Amino acid sequence: MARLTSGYDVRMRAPLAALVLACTPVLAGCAAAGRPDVDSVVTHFYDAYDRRDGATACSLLAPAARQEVERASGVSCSRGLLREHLPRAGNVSRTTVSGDQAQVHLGGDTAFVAKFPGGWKVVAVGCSPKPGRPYDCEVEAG
Amino acid sequence: MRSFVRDNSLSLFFGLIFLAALVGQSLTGMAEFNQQQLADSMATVSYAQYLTSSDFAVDVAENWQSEYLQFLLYILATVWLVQRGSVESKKPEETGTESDKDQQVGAYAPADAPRSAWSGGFRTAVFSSSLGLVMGAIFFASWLAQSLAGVASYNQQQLTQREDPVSWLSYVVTPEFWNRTLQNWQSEFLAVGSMAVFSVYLRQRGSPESKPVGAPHAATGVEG
Repeated sequence: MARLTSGYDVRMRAPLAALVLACTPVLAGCAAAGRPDVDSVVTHFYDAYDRRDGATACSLLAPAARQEVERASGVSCSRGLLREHLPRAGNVSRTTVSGDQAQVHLGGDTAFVAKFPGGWKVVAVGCSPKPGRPYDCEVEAG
Repeated sequence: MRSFVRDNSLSLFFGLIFLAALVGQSLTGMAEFNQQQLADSMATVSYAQYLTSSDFAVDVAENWQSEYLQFLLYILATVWLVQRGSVESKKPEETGTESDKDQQVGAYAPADAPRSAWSGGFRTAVFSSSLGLVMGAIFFASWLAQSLAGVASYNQQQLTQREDPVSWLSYVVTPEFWNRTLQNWQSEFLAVGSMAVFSVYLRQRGSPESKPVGAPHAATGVEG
């Protein structure tokens, strides 16, 4: 299932010029460069989940999230993940990247993504907002 | 070379310890940041990554803005306010911007005065306030940098905790932003205020920041 990528939220990108004073000129650059990768990993994750390809979906999870799926299900991540009832994600509607953390809003779900040495990985999916509190997520790093 | 070092030893000394402290801050800051990353099951960062991170930027900028604000306020407040007996204060009868003669401006400028002191007009007016203007500009730029780096750092933390990020306008009214700001301001105001009072009664022999050891406590604006 193909998903469109649109509506990047760029409010979090600190303008580069203002940070020259503080000798930290690269605040915004790295994060901005990561947005397509963030969307891509989330899109691929849901594509794999929808195809019931647990192995591929698990390979896109952060290590701690993978371990949490295994711990909670008592079976391998690829099998345990498919026991989870994730909502139908839909298209990407808004992506926010801040440093090595990102949030992706989709039509039917919200995902959190973080950057690791091997690239961006999904740290939480199936997340529902709770006013004034952290999102409640079906799958997340413990 | 030796003469240059001696003539500029104060600036060189503070420049060097500034750099040493900044390096120390960056190394310890990276260690603390990486400890938190590991606690959050996130990837650690390299030294280069930390140097260009919003976490390092906000920590640097919040201290810079408060230091420059401290000196800006002191430069401006001491034009009008006095502390009788303090070496940091003018005499009570000298408050205000003083006369052109006292300030050696325009026709009263000595032969070796900076051109901007005797040229008159806008140039002299700007030069007459240039110290405050530059200190104020650095303060506001640092405070802006603190807010910009701060919102990026804050949002990174928000996302790590699975919470929504906020806009810059929302961030600058958060307790986080004002707590970072005010905890620095209060310490600067205390330090500069107490120094003004301490210099009435205490002495540091040889320091221009102190009155001469034998000067009476009531003597105001007398450098040692």
